[in-house]
Order: sequence, then structure tokens, then C-alpha cells
Amino acid sequence: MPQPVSPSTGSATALARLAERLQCPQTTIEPLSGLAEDELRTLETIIKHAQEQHQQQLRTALQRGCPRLLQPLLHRLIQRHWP
Amino acid sequence: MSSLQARLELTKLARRLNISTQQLAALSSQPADNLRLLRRQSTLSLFHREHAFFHHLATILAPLPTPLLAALATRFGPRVTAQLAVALPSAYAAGLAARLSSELLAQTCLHLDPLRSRELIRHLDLSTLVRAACQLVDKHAFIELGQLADFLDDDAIQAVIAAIDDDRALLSIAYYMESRTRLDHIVQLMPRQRLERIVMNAADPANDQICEILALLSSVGYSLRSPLSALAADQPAQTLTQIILLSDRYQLWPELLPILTALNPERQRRLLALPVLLEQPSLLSHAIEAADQHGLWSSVLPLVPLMNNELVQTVAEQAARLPDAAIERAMTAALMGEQWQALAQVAQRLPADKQMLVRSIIVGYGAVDAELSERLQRLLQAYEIAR
Repeated sequence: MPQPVSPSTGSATALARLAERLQCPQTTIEPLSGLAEDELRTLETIIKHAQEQHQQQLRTALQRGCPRLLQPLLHRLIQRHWP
Repeated sequence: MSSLQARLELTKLARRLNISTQQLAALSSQPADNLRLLRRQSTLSLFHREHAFFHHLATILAPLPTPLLAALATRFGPRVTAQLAVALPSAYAAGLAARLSSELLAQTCLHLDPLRSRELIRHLDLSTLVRAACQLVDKHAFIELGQLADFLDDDAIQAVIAAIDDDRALLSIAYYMESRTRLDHIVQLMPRQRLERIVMNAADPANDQICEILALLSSVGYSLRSPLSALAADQPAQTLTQIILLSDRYQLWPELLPILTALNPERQRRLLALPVLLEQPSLLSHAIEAADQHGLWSSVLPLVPLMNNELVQTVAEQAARLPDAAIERAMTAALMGEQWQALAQVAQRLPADKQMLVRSIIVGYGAVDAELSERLQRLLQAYEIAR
């Protein structure tokens, strides 16, 4: 019987970074621990890009679409609550 | 989990991350459960980051009359509208949706948070729902439509099915639905004639919907699977050959085998007599591997007595390559389903070492059930196995 292989330090770090990126405990994504370090890193990069793109598109749409009258209000909301 | 489900999950994950499936090639060998987990976590991280912001914005905008809010939504566009819609009270958001143009409504659906839009979708009136569905069909947004279908009640489902006259689209929506039990229920709601037409069209490999139709037939309950599978199995031999070759290419044996089981013996015999199965032994090899990996020996064994000698011989040659543990699993299936005659037919064509393995397992049964072990040893003798 093959013995389970404990993830290398690099893989463990990459998994921790992915969990951080996904804003979840590392135990939640433990089933993905079988992925290689470079695969986990690539995945994190893809998700980071998707998050940034999503956030950027939302913010642009908000600022472009906001009527002049509501702009001060939007500005305050963004300052206080935008992640 | 079959590779079909994993492939489905990979497609959905790629859509969620707005990339191509090729960019996720490193995940292609991951089980469907892992991909689903990753999709869920990605969805949470994508849609919930701005939750507090949109909650506050929705609180400020909620007192506005819906026509004014609809005008604002038109200015903001679909991404912002989608976030606002799930942050607003569902009934109010549904009123807003009813006032959006069909294009904006559909675009908004494409950007909805799937984990928080259930209540909103359930509050939409039928005409808004049908409008959104038809527009999404035009955009080939079948993943989103599948997600929508998961949330709809029976009346809404029937209205949407009636409004979508494209059978291929309907099958694609079913393919992407999350809940297989819900899918079974929805299929039961479909007019029988239409369902038959969908199966007949999709069973034609020229229409390139083999994955979709096998996923559907393997998901529905036996009462529907049997007659619908029969429709597909009554296609000309050339078509059936194509279905088998495509199923093999897309690794769809875990879906195909239970469908074969649902056919009557006459149809099963016809399929098993297709020359391609003898001409390309790798087909049977892949089918047997899939049966072992996916616990489908109980689907395969009843087919053996319907095979001609040549095909049983080919099955035995492929089975001989299996590890001993797989033979044990096949024997467990024979034990559970009383399929010993079928197993013996194959076993008598296995090499001597595998025959000895079969005998030793059967002798081992004696420790638990001496009568069974003796009966099976007599069967081995009758088939001249491991004499």
C-alpha cells in the first residue's frame, strides 16, 4: 500500500495562500492538498485576477453610472465600505 | 464521481472565473467534488467581498419607487444591478426586475450571485422569468439557465419549458442543472412527446449532444430511463456505433452502462452484437475499467449471458488484465445480485492464475456460509474452472 505523502513546505504554503485568497480556513480546501505547488500558485493567481477584475468592473460601473446628484453619497459609501 | 461530472464542474468553474477551461487544465484530473468545492469558495470570495457596500447602498436606495430604481439600474448596468438585486428585499428586487429591459434583465442574470439569488428568483413573476429565460437562451447562457432552473417551482418550470421552443437548448439547460433529483422531477413535468423528440434528436451523434443526453438518461429515475433509453437504442446500428465510440472518447462509460441496464434483453442483445465491440477491444477494456472504478459490476454482469461467445472471450481477455482486487469486487457484485452464472461464463475463459483466485475467494466464503461456498464450488466444477 502506498503511504500518504505529506505535502512539501512549498505546497503547504501555496495551499495556505490559496485559502487566504479564498477567504476561508485552510481546512475547507484541504481536499485540494493533492495539487502540486505550482498548480496551487497558478490557481491562486487565476482567482486573484478574477477577483480584481470583478471588483474593478463593479467600481467602474458604479462610478460611471452614478447620477451627479448621488455622487457625494457614493463617494462616502465607497470610502467607508468598499473592501 | 464520473469524469462527465468533473468535466461539467470544470466548465462551470471556468465560467465563474471568466476564463477558458484550457486555463484550468491542471485541474482536469481532480474529482468533481473538489472542483465543486473550489467553485463554491471562488463564488463566495468573488461575490461576497462587496457585500457590506451593497447592503448599505441597497438600504439607501430601497425607499425609492421602483421606476426610479429601474432608471438607476439602467445607468449602473448589469453588474451593479445584480449585486443590488440580491441586497434588496426579494419582493422589491423582483418588482425592479419586472421593469428592466429584456437585455438588461438577461445580462443581470449572468452576473447574479448564485448563492444568494434563490429567493429573488422565486419572487420573479412568470412573464419576467420567461422573458429572462428566452433572452438567456439567445445568449446560449445554459450554465446560468441551469442554475435558474434549480430554483424554480413547477409552474415556473412549465412556463419556461413552454416558452423555449429550441429542444437543443432545453437539453443543454438540463445538462447544467446542479440538482440531479430536481432534474428528474423537471423531466417528469415535460410533455412526453417533447421529451421523446429531444432524446431522438440528441441520440443522433451528428447533433453533438451525446454528453448531454447520456447525462440526462443516467440522471432520471428508472420509470423514465427505461422508455427513453429504448428510444435511443432503437436508432440504426451505425448511429449506435457512433454513440459508443463517442462515449468512449469522452469517457462516458459510467453514464452509458446504467443506461444499457435499463434496456430490455432484446435491445441489449442488439447493442452487444455491434461489430465495433469486437473490432476495437479497447472499448470493452475501458467499459470494464469504468465498471470497476465506479462500482458498476452489477450493471455489467447481467449483460454477459446476452453476449455471443466471441464477445465473452474478449471480455475475459480484458478482465484478465484487471488487478486481483477488481476480480474480488466483481465477485462481490455477483454475490449481491446472484450473478454467478454470468461470472462463471467469464471466469472459465480467464487464465489459470485468475481462475485460482476466483476459486480461493469462493472457498473463503465457506467460513461465513458453507452452503453457499459448496454451491458455488459445484458451479465452478460445472464450468470446469480451476479444476
